[in-house]
Amino acid sequence: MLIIRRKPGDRVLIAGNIEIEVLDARQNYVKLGIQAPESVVIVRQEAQVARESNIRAARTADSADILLLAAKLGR
Amino acid sequence: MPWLETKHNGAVTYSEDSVLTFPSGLPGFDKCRQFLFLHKPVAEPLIFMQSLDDHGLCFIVLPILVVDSNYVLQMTHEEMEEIGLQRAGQPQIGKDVFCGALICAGPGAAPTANLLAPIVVNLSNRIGIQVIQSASGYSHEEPLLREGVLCS
Repeated sequence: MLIIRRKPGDRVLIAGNIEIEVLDARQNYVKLGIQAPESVVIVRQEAQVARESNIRAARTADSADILLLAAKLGR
Repeated sequence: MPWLETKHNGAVTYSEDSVLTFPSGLPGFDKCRQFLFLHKPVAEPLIFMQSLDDHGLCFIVLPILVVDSNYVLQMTHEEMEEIGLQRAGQPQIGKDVFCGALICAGPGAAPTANLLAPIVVNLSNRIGIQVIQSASGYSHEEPLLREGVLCS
């Protein structure tokens, strides 16, 4: 992993056309501004996690598995 | 009364005022905006979250306090606005909102609950949202049947 130290107002460039600026930095968070071509998909990592988790949850279980789980929960 | 072919419960009739609306859909299912909560005594405490837009889509939901009786829900102003909550403080689970965890229970895998991104429904207008609790430290795959995890 490449690690770079940046201050608020500093920027990094990725692949020449994606620009990330550190807008603000506090003890518990940093605020980033990102400029990128429209074709570049940017999501918060947790949003991607939620998406993948939802897709797994949707595949969940046939009715028998669900009833078995309910029985275990009810114990 | 309208009726609907469901994934797990055959054909069910429902009243229009029991329909839940998710204005933004759910991540990964952006086009599915309308759901029903179906309760079946044999499946309690699990709830079937059946899509009206895709009859083959049905999530399994557990009331979040069943998974973690100390669960803390933190919503942003934007998230509260989206579901029409106008109170100043955080919504209370069970009073202002229903809060539930989506369950993964595939065959051959231990069942887990998504505590990172709960389903939140405003009880007064049945408008819902999946809230991603970035700063919470909650897991998207909390083991369900671990000793001592369940609270009743």
